[in-house]
Amino acid sequence: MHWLHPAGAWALLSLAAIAALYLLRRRSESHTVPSLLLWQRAVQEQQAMRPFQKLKKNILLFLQLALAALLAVSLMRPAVSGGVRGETVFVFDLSASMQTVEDGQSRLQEAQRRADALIDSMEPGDRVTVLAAGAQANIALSRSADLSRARAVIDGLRAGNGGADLPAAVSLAQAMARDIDGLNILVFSDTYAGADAQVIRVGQPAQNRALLSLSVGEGGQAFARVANYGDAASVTLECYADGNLCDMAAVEAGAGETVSALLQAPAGARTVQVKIAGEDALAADDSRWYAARSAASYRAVLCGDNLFLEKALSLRADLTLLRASVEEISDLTDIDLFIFDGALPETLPETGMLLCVAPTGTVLGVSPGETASASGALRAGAGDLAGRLTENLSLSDIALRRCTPLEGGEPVLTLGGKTLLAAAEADGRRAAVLGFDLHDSNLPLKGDFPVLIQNLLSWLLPDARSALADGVCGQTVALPADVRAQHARVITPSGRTLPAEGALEDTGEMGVYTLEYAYADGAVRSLPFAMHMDTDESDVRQVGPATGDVSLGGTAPAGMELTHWVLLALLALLLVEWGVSRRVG
Amino acid sequence: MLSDGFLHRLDALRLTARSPAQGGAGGLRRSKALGTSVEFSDFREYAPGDDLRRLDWNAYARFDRLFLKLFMEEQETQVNLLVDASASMGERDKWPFARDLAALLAYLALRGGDRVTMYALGGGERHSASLSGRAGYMRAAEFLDALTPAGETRLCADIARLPLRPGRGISLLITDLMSPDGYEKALQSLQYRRQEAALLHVLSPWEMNPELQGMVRLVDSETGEERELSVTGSLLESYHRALSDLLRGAERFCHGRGMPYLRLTSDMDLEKEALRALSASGLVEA
Repeated sequence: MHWLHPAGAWALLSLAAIAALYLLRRRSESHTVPSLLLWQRAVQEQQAMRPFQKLKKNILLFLQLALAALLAVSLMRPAVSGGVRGETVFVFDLSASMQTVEDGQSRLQEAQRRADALIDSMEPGDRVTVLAAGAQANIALSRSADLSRARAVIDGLRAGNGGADLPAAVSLAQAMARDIDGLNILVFSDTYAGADAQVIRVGQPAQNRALLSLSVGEGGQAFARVANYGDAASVTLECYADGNLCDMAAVEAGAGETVSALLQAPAGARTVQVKIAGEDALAADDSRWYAARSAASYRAVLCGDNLFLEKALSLRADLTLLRASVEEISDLTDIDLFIFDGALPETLPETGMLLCVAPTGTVLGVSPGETASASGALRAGAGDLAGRLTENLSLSDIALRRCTPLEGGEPVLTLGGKTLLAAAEADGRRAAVLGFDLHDSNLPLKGDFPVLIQNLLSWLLPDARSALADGVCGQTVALPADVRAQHARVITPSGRTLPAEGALEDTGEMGVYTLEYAYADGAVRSLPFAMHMDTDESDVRQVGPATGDVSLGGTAPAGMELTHWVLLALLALLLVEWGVSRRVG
Repeated sequence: MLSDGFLHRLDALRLTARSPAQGGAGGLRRSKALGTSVEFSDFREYAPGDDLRRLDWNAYARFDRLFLKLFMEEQETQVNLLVDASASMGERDKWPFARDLAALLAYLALRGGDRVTMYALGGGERHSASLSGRAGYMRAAEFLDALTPAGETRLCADIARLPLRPGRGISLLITDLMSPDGYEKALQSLQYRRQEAALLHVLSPWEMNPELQGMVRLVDSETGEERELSVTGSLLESYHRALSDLLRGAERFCHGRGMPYLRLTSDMDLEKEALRALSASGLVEA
């Protein structure tokens, strides 16, 4: 037998308290009576019944001590465990809902305790594999016969703030089971309902409130949505701007309702946090953050006199467009995009992206061929990049007088199998090369032209602000590249520094992350974004069914909790005590 | 002690004697002897030497023969008031009640022309002088006032040693019966000494229903003996059984011997409830 809640043993102190009360009660009070004659006769009669009376005299004390002991035992939640034999895979649900606290311990802690009890019942030579099912399934311990290490690994598991990929973890365990005869697979979860493993259910239905979303307007108006996964209650929201409390609001939320609240933060606040005041079963979803991101700005230089290009480029709000001759570009610095209409400089710039229209030379491996007359219809290339760059283009009724087919790069637009728009990427630089002069085509007059230019700009100069969105903990976040940045890093809410290499996978922490770009001139640009608990995990009102009590090779791995039997005994004893106290007076 | 108004109301009552007085001085109580009272007894024919003042002249006119009217001789009765003045009577307000009860009975006896002697039992025998007449009541009251409950009760031993006047009499015992040597022999002893004995059993309401619970240390008021007790409902039940045995035993013993037994509690109103109980028991009559 083991205890699911050993802290309940503190209630055993009540035994000492009861005994102390009895001892204190023994201080007798003095009374002068006319005569002891009748009292002596009464005592003599009592003494005649002494064997029974002696028991009767103390029976209340014994009953009360037994009641207190049973109460303490019930608080300690006794359980018998059948134990497991052989090799066992312990799969742990590390989703956010496992952080739900009930009776002073989280669901994961309960799972760990029950798993520890099972490991205690194992014999030397039995092997343990521990699978941690967070956002991804990981093998925390593989086929170890070191049971103490297995306990340490299990006790070291921590619930994340996202979901749990339990199906993947169970699939992994089942893959192991194909090679290992008699492998036990035990899933410790509060919600998993798969029939492909024995589920040891942890947790009880609990009440919770969660912040589902938060958005902040330019004027500082914070709009929060609160879900009440419990009985009807008044929910108080606190609004913090850059760490300082700035507003509070109370909203009435009915059982199971989702309500909205409006709070006011100072305009221009960099970080706004809204918190649900008070405590509930799951604390991780009681906060939500909003991080204001300043817009990035790009500098582009257009070489050549092309009004169509100039107009199309100017549609991009974060782009500062400069005009220069091919000879002048060597004097320009901090240019993010060079646009060459026709002639190329003798030496291409060493930095920056390139958009070349009918170039006269090779650009990032894309070289023009022989100029020839063109006929036929333009078509989008086959690759993903071509699909992205030709998104929303109709490509109909576009006529070309002549063209210069391109060699190299990834075809984006083709005409009769020849590439007329190629995309190339090398050494962190990107280039888009158009194989015909815009003046030889009616494309600039079509609605497709500004769309095509914007698509090209989105690829060449991605908008970091819109490319970086708030997310859910555990998810991989794609980090936008800044072409001018020399270094980039991510600072987590706890202050850890992580390299920013295309994507961020370590997103377990909740709060505001900061993506920092460091430039050659020493300037630093910060791009904050927030990661939140997965609100799909917030509804902890129900737990799934348990299958762990099903016999497993003659054993019951999850065992059986005996608390309800103890409580029944306690109730029966209480009735006996009541009856005896009435008789004894 | 007793108010004048109450004493005035008592003038209409008298102590009842079940047998005629015998051997006493002249009094107001009927005796077996014929005498000169106003209470008619019988006729008999005149014999020379009889007092001519007692001739019934109406009978002579009717029968033409001389008849003599005979009247009862009225004699006084010796009333002994035995008051338990031990320490147990001093507890729980029993003594003021017992003292007033004794005064009441003394007044009734003296008012009825009887001779009264008061005896205090417990703490050494003490007794009053033989009292008679109304003036005797004041001395009886003084005797009672001077008493303070003290000492131990030994009813059998104390009563056996009492210097009662020889001859018939009435002995009224006022006690709580808290006597280690019992009471039966004491009452038998009184009857043996030709006393019309009556038992007036005085208890306090607390003794009838003691309000104790839990651990207590009881101290005997007479002996000072202490006893630690855990008073439970069960012990109280045993106490009530012991008390009931005492009460029923005394009642049965007295009725078996033709003695009036009267149970009184110290919270009774002497002028109403106690007097009504005395009348109902036949100890007092109008």
